Formats: sequence, C-alpha cells, structure tokens
Amino acid sequence: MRRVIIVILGIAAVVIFCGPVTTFLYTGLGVSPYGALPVISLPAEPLPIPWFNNQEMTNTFLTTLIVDALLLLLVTFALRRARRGELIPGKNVIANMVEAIAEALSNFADSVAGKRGKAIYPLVATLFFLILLGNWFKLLPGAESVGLLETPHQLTIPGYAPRLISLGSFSFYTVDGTQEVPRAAELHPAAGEAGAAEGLCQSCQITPFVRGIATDLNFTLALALITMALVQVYGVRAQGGRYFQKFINIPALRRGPIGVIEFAAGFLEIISEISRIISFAFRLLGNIFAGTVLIFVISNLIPFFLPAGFYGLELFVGAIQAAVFALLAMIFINMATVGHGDGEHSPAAAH
Amino acid sequence: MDLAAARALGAGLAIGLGAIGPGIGIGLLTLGALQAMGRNPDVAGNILTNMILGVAFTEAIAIYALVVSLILMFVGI
Repeated sequence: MRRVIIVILGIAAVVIFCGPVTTFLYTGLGVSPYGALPVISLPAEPLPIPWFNNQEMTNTFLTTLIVDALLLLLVTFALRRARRGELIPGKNVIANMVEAIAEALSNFADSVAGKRGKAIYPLVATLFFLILLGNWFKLLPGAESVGLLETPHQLTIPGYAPRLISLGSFSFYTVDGTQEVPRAAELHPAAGEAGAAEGLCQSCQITPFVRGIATDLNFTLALALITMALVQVYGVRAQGGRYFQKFINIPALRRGPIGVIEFAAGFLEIISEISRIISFAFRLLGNIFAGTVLIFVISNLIPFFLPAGFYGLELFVGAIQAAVFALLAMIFINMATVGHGDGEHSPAAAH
Repeated sequence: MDLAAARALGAGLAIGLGAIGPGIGIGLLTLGALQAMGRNPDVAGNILTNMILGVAFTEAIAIYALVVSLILMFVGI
C-alpha cells in the first residue's frame, strides 16, 4: 500500500514539475509559451518517406506500425519471463502489468462466456492491448507535436511564422503562435515552389510524425469490421447453419402471424449488426479524437499546469475505451454463440 | 450568415442537442444498475455486463450526433 502511495506522489511530482518547465524553457528561448494551436485534422496527414521514392504514408499508419512492433516486443518479453518459470509477482513491473491485465481479461472472458471463454480470449486480449497501447502512445512527449514543417494543405488552417531555436549544437524549428502569416503561396504558385525549393515555408504548420492511431477512422473502422466479421465466424462455429436463422428466419414463417413478425425482426437484426460496426468505429474515434482536441485547445489556452491534469484524464479515457471495445466484442461474440429464440439456455447464460 | 458560420453552428448544435438524451439515458442506466448491485451484490458481474451493453447502445445515439457534427465540420459539402 505504501508503494502505491509513493508511486502516486511520484506521478504528482512529475506533473507539477512538467507544468512550468515548458513555459520557462520557451520564454527563456524567446518564444511565446502561448503556442500555435496544433492542426486539428480528422483525416490522417500524409508524410513522404524519403527512402521509398517519396511515396506517401499517413502518420497514423506509421504510428500503427510502431505500436505493433512495441506490442510484439512487450508480449514476447513478458512471455519469455513466464516461460522461464519465474514467479508471478516478479521484480519486473512491466511484465507484471502485462500478466495482471491478461489474467483479468481471461477471468472476465470465463465469467461472461463460460466454457467458450478460452476461445474468445485471444481476440479480445489482442484488441485490448493494441487499443490501449495505441491510446497511450500518443500521450508520450513528442507525439502529435514533433513533425514536418510544411505549408498547410487546406486554406482554412492558419499558417504561422517559422522560428529557429538553438540549444547548443542542437537546433530545430518551431512555429510562432503569435505571428499568423497570411497564405501567399496559394495566390502565387510559383512563389510557393520557390519556397519549397529553399526548404522552408513562409506560412507553416507542423505535420506530426506520430499521431494517435485511434484518431484515424481507417484504424477504428478496420477494427470494427474485423470484430463484427469474427462475431459471425464465432456464431457459425458455435451453432452451424442455424446461426443465420437469426437474420432470415424461414422456419418461423410456418408459425402463422407471430412468425411473420419474427421473420421481419430478422431484418432488424441485420440493421443492428451494421449499426454495431458504425458505433464500434465511431465510439473509439470520437472519444480519442475528442481527447486530442481537448489537449490541443487546453494547452493553447493555458499552457501552465493544467494540460498535465488533462493528460492524466486521457490516460484514464484511453484505458476505459480499450476496455469498452474489448468487453463489447466479448459480449457480442457471446450473444452470437448462445442460441437465439429457441428458448434454450446455454450453461453460460445460467450464471 | 455565411456557409462556414452556419456549419460551425450546426456542428455545435448537433452534438450539443444530441448528447442530452444519451446523457440522461446513461445516467438512468447506471443508477438502475448500481441500485441493483447494491441490493444483490452476488450478481454484480452479470449486471455489469448488461449495463455496459445498455450503455453502449445508448451511447451509440450520441455517436450518431457526433458523426453528423464531424461531417459538418470536416467534410466539404
């Protein structure tokens, strides 16, 4: 218990330390701490890859690859430790955490789905860890703030004056939030070309290299489609062809007027299945994107202390959304595997 | 009112009005679930599962409003 309190006090100390440090750093370097509002863009921004013939790759895709690699490393690490037969509460905190989360998920899968829990667990745990890591990865320093200096692609996004900052031998560019530069490049395309050739834009935005993966609809929609497709697969595996009676209930037609209503309700099931894809995708996107916008706006309005608290909130929201996605996937799979409308009760539904 | 102002206003109204109903709904759902858990803690796990399911369906309505609002803000019409 004392260790928990020490950890919480440590996090609070880091938060209080991080609150003013950027402010003093920026004023010391002669840049207003009231920085430019980062670009709020729903579609992922494309980045050119220098060693691939400048083919474009979106920044969320790049982040997804990094998160995938990180996830593989983390799990391999935890697995190797478990294979070596070390005791569960070992010295390594990260491996302990992975094991604790995995065990909690496994127990929950068993309690929801009974004997099918073992079959559902791998998918649900993968979803949980991928979304959790993706949501937390965007909270690291440098994510969504370090990037490419370039002219904004859209006319509605304001551009700011670039400013060179030197820290000893290390120097980098930032944008000066107090100096908004009207766009000249669009009016004179030739001037824009010349500016690009010089390698520095006049009216700039920062396109981040790393952006939260769940702020891209491509990622969340892909996860939603995979999950709902696998729900059908699990349903067919558990019930065989009878699973499709849920959607097109021909045997019910023989039961007279009530059966016709049941047949029509089958079509509602199809619509409900499609709406689950939409709500899966947009629930994750909406929560994480809203969190990103919240942090952008708060750190633009009040760059002291307050953003640190909102980062804490985002840690919480990221974990909750990962858990909600995983739990809903588990519940939908369980609903598909348990028979529908026959009045039969599987052992899972009994407890 | 020009188009940009109308779109910003519409986006704000869409999510603002659209969040009222689901907000009340999720509050009622959680109220009911917590009361049930307090009366019968043995089935808390089962109630939690059903509560999350209900909250997810209720929240979906707010998500439709969010989609409308995002389309208004970010998709060129």
